Amino acid sequence: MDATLAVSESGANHLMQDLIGLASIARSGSGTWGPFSVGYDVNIHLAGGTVELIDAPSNRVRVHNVNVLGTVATHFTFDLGAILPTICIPPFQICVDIPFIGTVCTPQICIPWPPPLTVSVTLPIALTITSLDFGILVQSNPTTWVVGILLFPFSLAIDLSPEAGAIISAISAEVHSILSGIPLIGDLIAGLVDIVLNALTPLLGAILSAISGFINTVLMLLDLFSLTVPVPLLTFNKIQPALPANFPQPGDLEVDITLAALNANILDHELVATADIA
Amino acid sequence: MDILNSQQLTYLDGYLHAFREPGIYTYRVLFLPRGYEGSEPDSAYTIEVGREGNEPGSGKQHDITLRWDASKRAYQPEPAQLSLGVNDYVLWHVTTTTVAIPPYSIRGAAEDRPAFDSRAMGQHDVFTHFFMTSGDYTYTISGRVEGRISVHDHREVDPSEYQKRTTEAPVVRIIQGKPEPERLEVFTGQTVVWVVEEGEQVTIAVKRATERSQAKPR
Amino acid sequence: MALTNGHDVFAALHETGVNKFIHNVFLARRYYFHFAVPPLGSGVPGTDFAVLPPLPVPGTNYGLAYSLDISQPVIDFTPQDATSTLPPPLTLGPNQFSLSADVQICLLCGFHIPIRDPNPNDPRGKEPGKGRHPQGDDREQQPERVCTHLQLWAVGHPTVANLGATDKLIGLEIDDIVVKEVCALEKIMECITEDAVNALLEKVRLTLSRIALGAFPVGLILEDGPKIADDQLEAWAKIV
Repeated sequence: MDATLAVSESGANHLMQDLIGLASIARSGSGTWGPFSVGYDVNIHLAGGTVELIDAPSNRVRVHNVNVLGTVATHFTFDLGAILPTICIPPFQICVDIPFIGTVCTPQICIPWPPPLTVSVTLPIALTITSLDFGILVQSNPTTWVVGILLFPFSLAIDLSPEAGAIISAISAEVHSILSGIPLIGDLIAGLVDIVLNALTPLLGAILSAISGFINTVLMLLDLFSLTVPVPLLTFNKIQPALPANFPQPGDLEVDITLAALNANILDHELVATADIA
Repeated sequence: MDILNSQQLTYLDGYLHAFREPGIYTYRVLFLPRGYEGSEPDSAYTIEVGREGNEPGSGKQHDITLRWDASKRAYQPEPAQLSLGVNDYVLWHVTTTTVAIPPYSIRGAAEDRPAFDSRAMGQHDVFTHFFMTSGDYTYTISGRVEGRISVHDHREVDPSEYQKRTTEAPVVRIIQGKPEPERLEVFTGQTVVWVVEEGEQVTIAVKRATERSQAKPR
Repeated sequence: MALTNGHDVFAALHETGVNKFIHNVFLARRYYFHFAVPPLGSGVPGTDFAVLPPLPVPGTNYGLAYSLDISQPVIDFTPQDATSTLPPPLTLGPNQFSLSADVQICLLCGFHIPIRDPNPNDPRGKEPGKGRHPQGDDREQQPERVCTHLQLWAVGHPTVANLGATDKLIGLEIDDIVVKEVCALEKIMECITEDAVNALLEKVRLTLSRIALGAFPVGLILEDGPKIADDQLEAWAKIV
């Protein structure tokens, strides 16, 4: 062993924070439930976390309390015409007496409901993963040695059901606002809003569950959460210039330190890499 | 803003014609612009006016509801055939669940002679318009004399006052091409009735429509 | 006991690694270790050996060609290796390294290289020209290469020079040297060789980043060291 590099838990935390700081992703999905088409744009990133280094033979990098933060912008599109009954206004006929003609009753207008509405509600994502375990691996690439970390499987429960109220409120408000613009139905508006909400509420559980599942899927797309591809924690060029070429005089050959072999283990709560120089 | 034009009737409008003479009348529901008569649908519908009836001014109203049939690209009247007495009157209007339907007009004939045409209204023809959108509407009678209707948003007034107003359908009398009254103030949800008291070939069309400022919450 | 000792990073180069590095320098930068006055010196002047000026012969207007060849130095970090012997008064103490090398000095006797007389007022002074035998004999001697071997040992301490906030240049410097088999010239030779060896060591310093095997490209802030212990050159740093 010609060279030794040891990284403490605080140093490993620094390296992990660099990886966590890069861990962000955005993806969109959609689905249809009854008369509701729902689009959702997920935007999440990781933050926080503290590293614990667990000695060999376990050789694990454990990260405690990683926060998953972000938003999911949901867009509920629905056609009032597919949900609401036909309503004709005024509710009673208005009649006027016109000389030489008679009593003329003006026609009722059956309201054509407006084109499909889209109501957007942005839901917060704020979860904490209490513990993430990574194993360490040393990979030999053509020009580098890499000490990488690979996640052990974990599960994360995402429950968006507390957000149901916000969705219902937003849709209720928008439908109310749209219907308020239609004359003569003021007394009916509350009932019409209820019809829309009664169509939505039984579906909301399934909708939020689908969005939660999507968030989970998106999270697992993060490089840090790959179960198959290690994420580099430390990278060493196999050939490292120690004395540069052409210095101090033109024609000087470069003198390298070549790492012929590299090992990594966790000992005494430190990540210890040892290298042999060629 | 509402489309206000007696020559292009929409689902917010009604056209009424009183039948003064007995006979068999046929009418068509047209929706193509002038000059495209050759492409209009062939369907003609019959109104049979019997000799028995009522005195002028005491007739009965008969409603014909038009429904747009997208597959046939034509309006279907209900009922397709009507029988009524002399001095009775027919009110045509559209029922629809979508606004994506073409404006229409009614053209009728008796024994191949033109008898009535919503695009050029005659004496005692009536045009109605249900105001859905607030704004200031300046219209002309047959392209000449102006009238003005200020339509207020229903949310500008308290509900009880609004309810009272919506029981009224103001009437504008057209006398020799002039509207009486010239100015009117109504609320959205009210229907204005134009009656051609004197005149022929009368049209009512908006010249200028401007939005009013946002409705203030009550 | 944790290597990092409260710091983010511990980086150490073992003496075996240092000696491998020195070996690579020995092969790639020959002129660091070989010095000569042509026609002495083998290979390309400036690449295979550093060119020296002739050694002036006092009282003459010529100098002699000589060469100096240093063998690959061997570094030993404290504690002293069992195979290493240091002549008194040298000892290897805490935070010290020792260096040993052989030196061959050769002289091309009889080959006179004209040089300008540095004494312009001496009436006997001559312009550079053909050298004359001091006995006035115009015969030229047949040149003869004569060589001698010396051994040198040195002890020293680690050094650090600033390269900015996020890297340092870490090296070795000798404090004491012993050159053997030079008898009364010992002190003189030790003075010359101490400077020469330190000049060589200054050329082979390594950055802190390199000692940390390049794993922290953004940089490291040196917090402790460099220190020599446990056969290693050690440093402790904070990750930038």
